[in-house]
Amino acid sequence: MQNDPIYKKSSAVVSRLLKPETLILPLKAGSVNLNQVYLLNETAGRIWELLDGQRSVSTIVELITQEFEVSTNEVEADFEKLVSDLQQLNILEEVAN
Amino acid sequence: MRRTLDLINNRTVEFSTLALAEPAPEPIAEIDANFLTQLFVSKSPDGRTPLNGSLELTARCNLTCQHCYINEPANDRVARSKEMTTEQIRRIIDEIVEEGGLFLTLTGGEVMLRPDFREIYLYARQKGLLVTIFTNATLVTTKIADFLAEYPPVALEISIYGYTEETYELVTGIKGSHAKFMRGIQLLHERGLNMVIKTVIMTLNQHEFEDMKQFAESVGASFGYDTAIFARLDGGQQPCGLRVSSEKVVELDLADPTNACEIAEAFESQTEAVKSDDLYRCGAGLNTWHITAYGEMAVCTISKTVDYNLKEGHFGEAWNGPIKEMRQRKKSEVFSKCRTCQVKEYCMLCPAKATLESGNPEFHIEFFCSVAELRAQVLGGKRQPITLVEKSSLTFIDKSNNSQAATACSCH
Repeated sequence: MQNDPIYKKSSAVVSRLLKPETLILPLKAGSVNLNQVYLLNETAGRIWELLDGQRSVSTIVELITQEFEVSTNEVEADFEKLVSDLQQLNILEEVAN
Repeated sequence: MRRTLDLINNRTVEFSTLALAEPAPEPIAEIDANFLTQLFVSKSPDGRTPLNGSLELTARCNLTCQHCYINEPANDRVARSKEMTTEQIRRIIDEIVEEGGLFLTLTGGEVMLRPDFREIYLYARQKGLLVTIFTNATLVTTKIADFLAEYPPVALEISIYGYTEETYELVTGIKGSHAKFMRGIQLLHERGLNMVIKTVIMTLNQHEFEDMKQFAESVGASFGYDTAIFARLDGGQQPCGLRVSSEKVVELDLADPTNACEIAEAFESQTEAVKSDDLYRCGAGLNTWHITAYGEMAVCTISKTVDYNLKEGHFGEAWNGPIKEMRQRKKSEVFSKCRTCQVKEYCMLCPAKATLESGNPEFHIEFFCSVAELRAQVLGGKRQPITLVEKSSLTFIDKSNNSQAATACSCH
């Protein structure tokens, strides 16, 4: 990845682990759809957990490749798609450097 | 061992395996609740999970409604001193989440009497509970309305006691309460909050049913009603005298053809359930629970509490111990008229209501019998007489004899 952005979860949602999935629920009016709940599978849930406003994308990708024993290239493409999906739902925000 | 990276390799449309599930097409409360219910229940090996419960923040209320089963005076110091503290409630909410709770109703009394109402509500939401609030709306302030608009509950269910000031305050017993109610509704409506306005139909307000319904529609709220009135938790029987006639109950059933069909289908769906030997045939203790303002636990809002207090105990311990035992109770072998009733699927009576009114979870109550009988005739088109014969000290049904020499109860 050319840039190495940092993302954080929106404060308008809350999540809870419902092993193995992660449930994302609306909390605050404004930017998110209050009528929708999202479910992440185990892997996406792990990424969601790591999107903490501190770790950069490259750091998270590295952790995922180690934990799930897959190549960096494999992770990067789908990681970007997941981040894009979460941003479209307004539940993930990029932290300004 | 290599773990599957579903995120990358699996993008099927099956909800349970999607990396990012498709957004729900309908509001949570209407459609997603079913999916979420299945998801949470699937996590439990025996299907028993504390999915849905109610937490009573106080038994005190600023109104003194004649039909209410619980209200204690708003300034009752003894009642207040026994209530759970904020910290106890926060800890119990943690335990509910830990045990797999999802839907939480905050109820009273009047929840907004507690100064920590907003703190408790927000804490439950932040822990990932989907919260419904029961209120009479008379204590809604600009501050509370703004707060709820910022953190909207899954449902805001507001009681209405009459359309006119005269009727409303005849029920509530508090002068000026109607104006406060109207002000509360206005504040919530102005902020676009989704409201359900609901009423208990009784002798005092039955003539304003249509007015209350139209009022709810005028503020964009859904409307709901109930005709089931039961005795007070403290044993008082006075609410029971406010029940409308069985004819009126069925008249309301039939007022809306769609509603009538739904009611008929709901009753018909009980046909198998009523044959069970389980004392409880609803979700009580199976997927639902209730916590009183004093930390006692029960299988539902009006059922007898079990001998366990959450102030000193743990939610999970109660759920897997005394609540489970309560749920597993079977009907007694002693003859009860309800046991032999042929229209019991049309009956609104349950062990909790029967206990409140008679002290016996299996005792019949004439009002419920007459409503069930009429509903069966009108909605179900059935009427089957039951004949009894006396045998030794017990009474048995003699199904071979169709004479009506003796009757089990008016719900036959």
